[in-house]
Amino acid sequence: MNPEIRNLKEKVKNLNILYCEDEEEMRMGTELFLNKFFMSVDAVSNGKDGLEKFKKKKYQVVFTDIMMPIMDGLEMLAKIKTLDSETFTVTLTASEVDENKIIAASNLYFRKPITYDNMITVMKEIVDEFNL
Amino acid sequence: MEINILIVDDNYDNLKTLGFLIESIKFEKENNINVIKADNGQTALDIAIKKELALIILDIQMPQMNGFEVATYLQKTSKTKNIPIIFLTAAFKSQKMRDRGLHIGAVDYLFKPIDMTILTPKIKHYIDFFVITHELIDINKQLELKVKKAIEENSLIETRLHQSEKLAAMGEMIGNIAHQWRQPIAIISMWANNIIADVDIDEVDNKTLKNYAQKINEQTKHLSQTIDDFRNFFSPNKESITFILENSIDKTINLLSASFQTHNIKIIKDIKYIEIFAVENELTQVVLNLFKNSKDILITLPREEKKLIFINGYQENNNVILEIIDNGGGVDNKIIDKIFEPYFTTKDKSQGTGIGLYMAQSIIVRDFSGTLFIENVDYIYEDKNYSGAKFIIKIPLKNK
Repeated sequence: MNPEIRNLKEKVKNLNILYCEDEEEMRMGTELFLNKFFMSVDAVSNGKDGLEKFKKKKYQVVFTDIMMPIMDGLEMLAKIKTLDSETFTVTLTASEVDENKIIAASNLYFRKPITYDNMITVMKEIVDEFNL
Repeated sequence: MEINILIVDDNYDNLKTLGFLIESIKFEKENNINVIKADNGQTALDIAIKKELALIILDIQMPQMNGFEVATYLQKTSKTKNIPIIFLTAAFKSQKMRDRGLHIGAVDYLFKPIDMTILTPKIKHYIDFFVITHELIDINKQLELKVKKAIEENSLIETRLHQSEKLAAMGEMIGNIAHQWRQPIAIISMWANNIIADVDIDEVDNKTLKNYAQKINEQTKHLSQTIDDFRNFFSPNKESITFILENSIDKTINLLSASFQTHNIKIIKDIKYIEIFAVENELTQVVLNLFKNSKDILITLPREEKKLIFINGYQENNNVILEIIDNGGGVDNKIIDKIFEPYFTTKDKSQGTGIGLYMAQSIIVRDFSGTLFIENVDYIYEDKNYSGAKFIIKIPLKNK
């Protein structure tokens, strides 16, 4: 057991998380991971579904992939920020296309594969962001 | 130029006179005329072997070895057989002897006493002949050298091109493997993260751990499948086999699936059932190069624009036609004639080597006896207008 991680979990667990990823296996693994820290995680497979969810519920944090069918991550992030500029956005992508746009559009940006330490960094940033 | 004339006579006075007469000839051209004297047949043969001679003037009646014998030897020896021989005789004036002399290979048969009005123009003629022959030989040698050099340079260029082709294909493959691997690696890493999180949060459950490990194993299968696919492609197997065009195209599309997915490129395929007898990997390489060419232009399009690659395959008369069409806007007419030239590229040096399309065309021409063309096309797809490049491969169907 790691007391620091336990502590992190206690701090972030009540936040609402939206997670967008089109690749099913990646979505399953990451959703499971996020569920270990957050009590409410909604996972969808494209930007359009993500945006629909976002309109109906308050999410403090959005995790998203970029290259997705129907609506990609960049477009979704732009629309989410206009709906609620306070939303903390984390981009997890394999693509190096449009890297500058992605960095500008998100609070945190990681290229896949994402290590455990990176995920913990994300948690800590969230704690700082929301003064938890 | 130094010109040697050999005169042969067993009589010393005759030799001296003839030598004097030849040396007194006035030549128009500045050549260094050197008269060599031999008073018997054997000495004449020795000199003919050692020196380069423009002409031999040969007496016939000599002790030990007569002029006919000397001429016969000279004609049999490769080094001397082309030296012109003029017989000069006082004794053998009959038509029969003259015929014999000419039959041995002499260019002329003259009688003593020496008539310089006849001999002088003949000597001049054979000197000119010798000089011109030498000039021609020199020119020929220079040409041979030039041709040899050009061939060497050409084969060097060919070798370099071939190496560039190979390197470009390898580089391309490595890029594609990296693409195909990124997603499975990301998934493996996320399942591993789950294991670490379970340990850190103290929620380790054996059954769950086993499940994570199985998920990781499944992904490693993808990784090794990718390696197998690309290794098959790179195998040096140059054997022609019968394969189904659509299956082959599917395999090629599969090699690039991750790349297409990442860049949101949609492949629209319409391939008729055609059996082809050829080296399958070579066709794969061509199609890969054309796909890459289309992909490179499509990724420069604005994000919101559709990115399309059509691939059509059908039979026309006794040819297989394979078309690859994109919506990248087409090729500027100013450069459309150059795009198959080696090292020609519109891309940045870090991106393009200028080898891809050259390689595709040389494979089609060299290994398939076919043709590869490009044209710009406008077309409608799902009620929208598009413009792009259309590559047309035409391969004659071979009988097994």
